[in-house]
Amino acid sequence: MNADFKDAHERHWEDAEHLHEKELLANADYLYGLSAECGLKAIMQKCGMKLDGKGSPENKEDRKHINELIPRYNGYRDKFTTFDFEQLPPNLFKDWHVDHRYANRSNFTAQTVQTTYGDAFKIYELVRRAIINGLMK
Amino acid sequence: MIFDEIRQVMIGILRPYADSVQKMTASQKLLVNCDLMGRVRLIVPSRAKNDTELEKIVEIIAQKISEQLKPHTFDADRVILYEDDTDAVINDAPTSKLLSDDLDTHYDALKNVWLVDRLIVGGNWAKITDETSSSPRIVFFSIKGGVGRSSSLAATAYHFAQLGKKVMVLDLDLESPGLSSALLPEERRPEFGITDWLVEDLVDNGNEVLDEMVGYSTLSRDGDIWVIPAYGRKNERYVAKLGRVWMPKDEQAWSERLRRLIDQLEDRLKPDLILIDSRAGIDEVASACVTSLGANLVLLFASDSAQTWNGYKLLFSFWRDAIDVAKIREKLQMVAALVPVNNRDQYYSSFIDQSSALFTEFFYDQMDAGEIDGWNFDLNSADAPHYPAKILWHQGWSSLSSLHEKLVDADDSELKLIFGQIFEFLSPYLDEKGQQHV
Repeated sequence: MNADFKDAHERHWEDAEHLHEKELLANADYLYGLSAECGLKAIMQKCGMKLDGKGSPENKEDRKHINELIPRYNGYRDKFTTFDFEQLPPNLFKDWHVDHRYANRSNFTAQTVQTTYGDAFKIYELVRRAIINGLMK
Repeated sequence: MIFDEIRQVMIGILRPYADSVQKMTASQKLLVNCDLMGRVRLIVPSRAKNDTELEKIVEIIAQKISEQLKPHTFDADRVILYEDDTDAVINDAPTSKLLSDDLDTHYDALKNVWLVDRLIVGGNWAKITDETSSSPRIVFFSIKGGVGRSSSLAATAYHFAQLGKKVMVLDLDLESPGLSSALLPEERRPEFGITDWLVEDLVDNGNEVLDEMVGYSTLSRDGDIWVIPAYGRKNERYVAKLGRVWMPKDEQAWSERLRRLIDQLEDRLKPDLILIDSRAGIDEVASACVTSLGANLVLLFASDSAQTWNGYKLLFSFWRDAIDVAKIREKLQMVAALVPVNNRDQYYSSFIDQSSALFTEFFYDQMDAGEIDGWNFDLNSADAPHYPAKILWHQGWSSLSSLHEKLVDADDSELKLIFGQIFEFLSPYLDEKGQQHV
């Protein structure tokens, strides 16, 4: 299956919200992170990131999870002159890691998920702005 | 369906549901969001989502928008965006009431529906397009306004049309258009202009306006003058259109889109000569005219003033740093505008000094003693791009507003006296490239 970053961003976000509401914190935290990664990659694509035939980023440096992706995004964003996307602080998702999916659920507190949610929401807003301005359908 | 009709069609769609719209908008605005490409989405306060009846109405409205506004919208399932705080979404974008206060005041129920325009500015100075191989394209450019650039262009179009040529004229001074009035009386202004095409092209709808954007000037007796104005008779929401002109589409910069328009017009009209009036200054339109339209020649109009020379220095230094100088320098030609009748020689001589210094600093190759290969010219070499064609200052030809009347009764010898050097300068381009159409 080919990648569709924008759609993946939206479905991960919706599921994360459901899980968060039901206080299923561990998987909510995981999906907020994935949602942010896909959302950011969708925007990077708009800012000029090239994809291969399967829809994955051509450049290996762009095939990162969200905790390592912000500097890549800021790089594309700086070169994109058509639209002024917001620059993101590099310390977003500093405590999130994809390997946390193997961790015990007792590690995830309301506070840790709230932090992840706050960071993911910044990217959710970024995508929303791109949609409202017509840069994404 | 074209961009100009969006407001009226939206009013027509919402009116039958005015009561529901009023409920939705009791505490929040309903936004008719017109994106960068000129496509409409409705941004609805989230409370409507929690009311089954309202949600159904929103779905019906989405369906109607999708049916009636295409290509200026999306499929129905993408038309609606729900937002908790619709004011926050506006985010400083230009916003106006969908129903203006002096109109339709009895539709009070729609008073909290707003039209939001997402606009943008962006351009590409650095890319130079190869010159065209068909009809010669001549750009008239100036750093400052008021140097007789548009008047010279109008006179040039008139002159070559009198010689039996077919001349196509484009007014790309989109933010301060005027040239078309000099060549066309108002009643002959076509329905649409370049701005309309650039906006419609964003949604693949350019053909809708293409046939109605060419005005035929009655000034030409033996040849033809076709005028493509910046705006047409239908010029509703001109500023909202202008803000979308600069949008790229499918990886094509707006200036490449403009070139596509000119190619299409050229293909239809088969002119012998294409004259392009560029906006004064170092801005987006000027950049495109000089670098992206496949120009064969760019006439750089200047008066001998410090402001003008400083402006050209800024422009030339940018080109030198950003682009391959060899691609642009051979297309440039200075024009000394506003040459006074008295002290003509003194003015001219000072002009040549300044112009030569400018080209030497930025464009001419540095030549060591004894070196002969290189792109360089002596101060008084008449072939040099810095060596200007002269246009005399003349009271009667200085105002664009009265130019049309002036051209109706034009005296050929007076025209030649004032603009003759430009005519002479352009003749070879026509002989070389225009013959195929004559």
